[in-house]
Amino acid sequence: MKTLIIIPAYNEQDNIVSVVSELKEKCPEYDYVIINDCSTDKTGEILDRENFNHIDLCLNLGIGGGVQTGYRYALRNGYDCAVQMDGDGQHDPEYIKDLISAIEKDDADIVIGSRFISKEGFQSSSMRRFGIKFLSTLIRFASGAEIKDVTSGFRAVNKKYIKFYSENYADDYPEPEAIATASLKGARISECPVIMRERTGGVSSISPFKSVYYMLKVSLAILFARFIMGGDKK
Amino acid sequence: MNLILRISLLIGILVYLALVLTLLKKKTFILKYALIWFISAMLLLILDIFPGIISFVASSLGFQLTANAIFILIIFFILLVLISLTSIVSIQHNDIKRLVQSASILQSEIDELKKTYYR
Repeated sequence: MKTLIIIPAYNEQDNIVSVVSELKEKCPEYDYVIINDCSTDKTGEILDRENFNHIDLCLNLGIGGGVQTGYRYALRNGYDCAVQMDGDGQHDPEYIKDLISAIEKDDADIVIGSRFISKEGFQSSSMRRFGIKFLSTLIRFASGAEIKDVTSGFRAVNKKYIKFYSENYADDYPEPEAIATASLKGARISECPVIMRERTGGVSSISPFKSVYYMLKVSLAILFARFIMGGDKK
Repeated sequence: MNLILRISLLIGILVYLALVLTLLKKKTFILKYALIWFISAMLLLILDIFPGIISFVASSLGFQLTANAIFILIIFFILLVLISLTSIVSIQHNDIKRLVQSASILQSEIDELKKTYYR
């Protein structure tokens, strides 16, 4: 099964080399592509110097636009499976094989790497966990998908949904909405336990103020997705 | 406000809402920009169901007629929308300019490569 690891990166000069080195070391059998979202730091230079496979976006599109670029690349190059992995080192490539095993067996279309199944490792702040629980419930009501860790960017997707996401992917805070839209389209979505690490260098892209906007925007988007895509699962 | 007027306005608001939702469903509108229209429709709905709110605000501000207050409010709203549209257009202008430059530079690099390749 031809697999691509999509690594979105914005201003990750401190982390990107170790992230990619670890990936190549633990999982040399998978292809990868780093999406450099018009970073203003030395990320671009580092990617060229280290000869990492990457795409430089000429404009900043945000995490949604960046990841979608990865899906379009996966589609163009005929990949059977795509795995999203963060560029900041929070995701351990060790778990990729767990994520894709259900897809290989065609037991699921999308597999989300979840922090909250075995509850080990970095669990993030209680405010964020409350917000995540709220979104998880909302997504269950709106689309039927029963997922605990709806904001996890560590996820594997099969060929059918590579195509779907390459055409439908939200610009900002896309992760929960992506679960809802895929589920409304009929995707079988399952979860798999992973252990995430705390961010080692650089700054997270979600600040406390943005969190409120995030909650409102994502909740509305999920409700509208339900309205636009209807309740009929194929 | 008399009842017939309020009901006519209610129908008008519902038609407006249906239009916004249809444009959203057809993907002609994206959610980010449709929100302001959707929220304003909700606000108009509330003001129509509880006209007391707008009468109170109008008289507190010193308007002779409630209608004048409504007009001023709507004009402010339209101005804000136009300003935000100007901002969106400006950002898109810069984005398009950059894309044109990137595409053109890429094309010239491809042409250079072709020259070397086909020698």
